[in-house]
Amino acid sequence: MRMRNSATRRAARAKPVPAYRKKDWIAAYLFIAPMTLGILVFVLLPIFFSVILSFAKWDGLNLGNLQWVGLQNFRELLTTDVKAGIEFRNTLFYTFISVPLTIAVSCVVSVALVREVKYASVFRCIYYLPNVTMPVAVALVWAWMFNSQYGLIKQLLSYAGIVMPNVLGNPSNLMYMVILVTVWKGIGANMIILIAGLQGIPQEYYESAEIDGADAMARFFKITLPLITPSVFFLTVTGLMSGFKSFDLVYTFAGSGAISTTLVDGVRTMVFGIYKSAFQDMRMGFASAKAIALFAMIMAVTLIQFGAQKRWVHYD
Amino acid sequence: MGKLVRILSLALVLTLAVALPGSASAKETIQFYAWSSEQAALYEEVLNLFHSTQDEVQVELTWTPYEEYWTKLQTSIPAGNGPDAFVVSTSRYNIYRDAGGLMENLSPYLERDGLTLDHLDDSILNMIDGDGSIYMIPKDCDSIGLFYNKGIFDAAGEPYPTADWTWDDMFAAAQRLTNPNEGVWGCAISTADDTGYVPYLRSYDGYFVDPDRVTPTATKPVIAERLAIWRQLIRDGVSPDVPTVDEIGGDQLFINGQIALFVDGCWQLAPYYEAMTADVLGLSPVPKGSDHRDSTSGSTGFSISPTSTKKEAAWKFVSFLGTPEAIGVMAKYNLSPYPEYAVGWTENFPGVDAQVLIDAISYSSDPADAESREMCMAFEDAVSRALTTDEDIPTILQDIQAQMEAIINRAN
Repeated sequence: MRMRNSATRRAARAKPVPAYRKKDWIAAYLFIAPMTLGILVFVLLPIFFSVILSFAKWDGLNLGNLQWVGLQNFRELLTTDVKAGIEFRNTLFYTFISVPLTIAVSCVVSVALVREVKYASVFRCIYYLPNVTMPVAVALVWAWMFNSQYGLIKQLLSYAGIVMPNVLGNPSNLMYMVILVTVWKGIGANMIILIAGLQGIPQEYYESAEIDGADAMARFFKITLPLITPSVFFLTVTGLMSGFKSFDLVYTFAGSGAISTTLVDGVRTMVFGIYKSAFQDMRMGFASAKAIALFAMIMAVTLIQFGAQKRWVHYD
Repeated sequence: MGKLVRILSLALVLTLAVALPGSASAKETIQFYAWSSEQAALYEEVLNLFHSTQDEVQVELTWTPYEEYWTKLQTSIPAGNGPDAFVVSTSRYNIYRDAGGLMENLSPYLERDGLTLDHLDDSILNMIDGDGSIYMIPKDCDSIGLFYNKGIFDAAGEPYPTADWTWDDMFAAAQRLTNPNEGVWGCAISTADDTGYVPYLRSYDGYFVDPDRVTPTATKPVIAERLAIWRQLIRDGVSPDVPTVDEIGGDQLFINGQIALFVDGCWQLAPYYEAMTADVLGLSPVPKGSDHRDSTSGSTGFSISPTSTKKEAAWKFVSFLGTPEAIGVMAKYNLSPYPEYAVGWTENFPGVDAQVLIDAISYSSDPADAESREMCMAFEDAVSRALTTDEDIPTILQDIQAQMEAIINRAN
């Protein structure tokens, strides 16, 4: 009690914050220096460099070989490049299917696990596990399970007399496989955010709704869902960003180089295309132009989302 | 005072004791980069040999996974903090040479020390001697052959492949050997370049670029004709379809005994031999096309970094790897590019005619170089489309021809 009183008194007597001394400023800058330098060297400089590179032709090996080509890389990207359209289509398909699906499934799982059901924490752990495993290892295990000749799923289906279709070698099936693994992998992280959002909903809302005779469905759609829209909005924004940038799963399923280009084209995303242009075709300039185009796309989608959030996100 | 002097002199003696062994031997340590550890036993033996023959240079070996290896070289060498010596492959050799600043020209060293690479196989020498300068000392090389499963031949009462076989002979035999009830395909057609369309089409003089590798020639009628034959084999079920080969891998299907005839590279001989043994595994030369046969090849070797500060020490090591002693050791592990030593490798596979892979080196060349790499990717699209879709093959090839011309125009 005495403590609090003296603290209150001190606060009441407090003058405006005095200007920091020079020594304090130096200390402050020293504290943020490692992070700032890190961001400068490893994030901002490369971004700046790739913007510059997008106007050049460069093999990535010797800076002496750099040639300025103006807008030629962008012109090629928009007109003659045969893979750009495929990459764009695949990226949109992948993102706009996998992101909403992941969020929908995560919502269902979170609502089920937020209540104090038996073993809830065990289940939460299980759903979170895919997040702490390596994407490459995950993809390899899935590839083994879905192998149409030796896989686990083929074995299980054969007991039911169903012939396992070729998923991994068929371009139109492989994309669904990648989406499936993405959804399965994404549930855990989304769940953490959603459960936090769900726990913030006051219990009184449900109680009064129940008194008013609202059933479970009505309670979910009228109370739960509107009140977790800020979390859902956050997940949509970050989900779309990472969806547009997807690479690791695609690379594991289709990056070996020993498979036909038809199969690769089935899942070739924009970032995969950037990787191919840069490190296989040794066209750093063209790859940078693709990266800039991707950046513009993500920026546009994110701005649209922020513009549209007034219509569906409820902050109170 | 006397105590202080004693302490100081003791400190001095101790410092000298620690410092002396280092300065007395004057050993120079060089950094050597290689990819993957599959060749660990080879490098261990070669390095032990090198260290036992001299004590001036100590080699420190750093492994990097293959996927990151090239990026690491490309970034560390120009920055001046890369290796002194490193392993390079013909898949990057021309690109690195043309870019400049990544590999030291070894010709002046060879000349100065009175060394030559004359005992190297001509086709390998041609591959690395583009402009009269040598940038690597070859370690091993590749070639391809026709692998077959004797068990499937015996069961069908078919005679084994012979050296006179043409591709058409092979496809006819494959047709007879196909047995859907047993899950056996006569052959497996893949969209790979080095073991697939490159040797096949080149043996009919139907490659997608002219021999100078400048003008695209995808619309040559023989290419369409030959790809149509492949497409038909897949439709007839003589070869598994592309999705199956993509999923399982032709090599795996072959080891499983589901493929009778399979064109593959010398690097697969060891795993095939181990899995199938000489009782089942057979090896024959790649079939002929119109009048000749064709094999793809590549080579890996040792190079020196132009930014190294210890080039002489690195050269001491790299030139040692070109001595008969070192070649002899390496020839036990891989197909040697020095014909007189290559036989050493075949002794690992008694009962299989591995000599055909040595012979194949003489009619080999590499599938693509820096200039045609992008065209190669475009043509791979044509092959994939021909084998996986119903599109008209000449139309596909015209389409790809236009793409390849665009690539050439852009390059100029």
